[in-house]
Amino acid sequence: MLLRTARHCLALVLLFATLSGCSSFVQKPIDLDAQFWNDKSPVIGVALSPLPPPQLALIGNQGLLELAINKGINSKLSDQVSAWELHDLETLPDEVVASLKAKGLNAKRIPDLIDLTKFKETEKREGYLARNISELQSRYGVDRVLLISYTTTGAFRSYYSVVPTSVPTPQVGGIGMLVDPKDSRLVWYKPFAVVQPAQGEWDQPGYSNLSNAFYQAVDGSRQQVLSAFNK
Amino acid sequence: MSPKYLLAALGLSLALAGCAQSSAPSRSFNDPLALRYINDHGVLVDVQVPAKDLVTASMIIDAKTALTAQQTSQNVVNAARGTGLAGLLVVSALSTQMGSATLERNARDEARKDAQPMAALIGGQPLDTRLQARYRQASIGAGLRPATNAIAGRLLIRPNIILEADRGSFRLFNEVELQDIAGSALYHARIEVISQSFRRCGVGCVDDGELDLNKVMEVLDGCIDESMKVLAQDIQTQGVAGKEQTLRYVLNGQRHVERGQLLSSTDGYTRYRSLDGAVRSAPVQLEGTHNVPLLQQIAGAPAVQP
Repeated sequence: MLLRTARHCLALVLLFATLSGCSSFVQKPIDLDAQFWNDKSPVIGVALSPLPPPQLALIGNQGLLELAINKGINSKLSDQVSAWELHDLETLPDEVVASLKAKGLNAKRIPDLIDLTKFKETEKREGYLARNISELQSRYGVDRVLLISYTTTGAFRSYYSVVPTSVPTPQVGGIGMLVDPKDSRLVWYKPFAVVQPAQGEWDQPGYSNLSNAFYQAVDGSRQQVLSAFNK
Repeated sequence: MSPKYLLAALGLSLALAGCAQSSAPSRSFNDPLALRYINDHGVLVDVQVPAKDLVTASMIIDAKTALTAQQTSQNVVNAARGTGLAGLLVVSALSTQMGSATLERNARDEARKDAQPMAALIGGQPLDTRLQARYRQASIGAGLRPATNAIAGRLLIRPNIILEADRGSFRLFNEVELQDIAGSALYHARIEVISQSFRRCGVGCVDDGELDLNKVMEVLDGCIDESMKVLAQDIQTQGVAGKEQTLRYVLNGQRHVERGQLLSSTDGYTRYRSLDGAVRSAPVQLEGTHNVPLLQQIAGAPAVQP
């Protein structure tokens, strides 16, 4: 009897844990308000987070064996995707700083890459970053941290079992955010994603069309980030 | 999944991948003897104007529509899951490219329609002799020694005019081959020159959509001159180009982003070798190539290496 009760309790705990996991909120985009543009005094430090290396994501309904087969079939393409470069993104924070300075704001580049996973996790709340980044304020002498964080680079291809259901498509995505390091309040929060299909055949020797599409996606993501500060 | 289905699926998958392989584009090559051959013997320019489809238009497929089409294909595949794997395989074979194929077919029809006015306009000209003469003149202007006798190289040029997406400019697409007297190729390249706008200034300087033959031919002549300059440069420099980089420019209101290697550029044109080996020339200034140090100075810190 006791064992059965304990088993039921355990099941309930597991169910609760699963449900609470499912109910975790998704941060909605936050636009820059007029106060941001009017308040010229805070020092805004602009930084990039470490860039995820480009990779080919094989998505869709596949078992382990099928995934292994699909990986084998796409190995050459995978190598090509891994060789794509992300140097174009290195100057993005500089361009954001230049845009902010052109509007009369006090901005500077943070020379290091800011990896949010290295900071202590805090309670998840709507409108707040769930990390304590207060040390950045004193380390870089900034009042706000504008972080450009890329989460996805590369391409995806969907499969059902071993049957391809889409052509490989370059994708680039991430989040731009402006955070008050004192309390981790989000002043601006903008997820961005660019999916850029290849123009023409995707499987030319050297994958030239696909590679061009990737660099167009990278450029598109740059434009999306910059557009927020060029209004 | 039973092994029988798995094998069938694998076979079909491999077959699809095989079907999707396009024919290899012509490879560029540049024999070091090409320049010496031209200097020693001169070249006879031979322009081969295609009997049909000299003027075509690029297909316009925007990313958003392409993505929608791809999702349509995906939805068809999703809907077919109830029919089992065999059904799915058939549907997938038909629909993996279906959305894109429909889109491409429509875009191709539109492009054919868009190319007709210009094709009709220049089709009424004695194009063979005119282009032959212009290419010959341009090659001399670019410093390629003309043939003085029968023992000379043959510079074979196959031109095509492809209307750009803005439909107000075109790309002169030249398949160029230099052959020695025995017919062996010493140089082969695809040289593409993007034109200035050929739209005429109508009443009140508003584009009335009409084409002016003189304006079109003037723009075409400019492209031919630039094509021969690019050819001469490419032969002289043995195709040596800079580091691969992303090239961005705005031409006739359209933003272009392409990966390539910059070549030395002059006369208001930017020349580069694209990823598919073609040499391209566009009458534009590139965005953001010279201002990186300045940008970093403004930003207050050098960019880091991620």
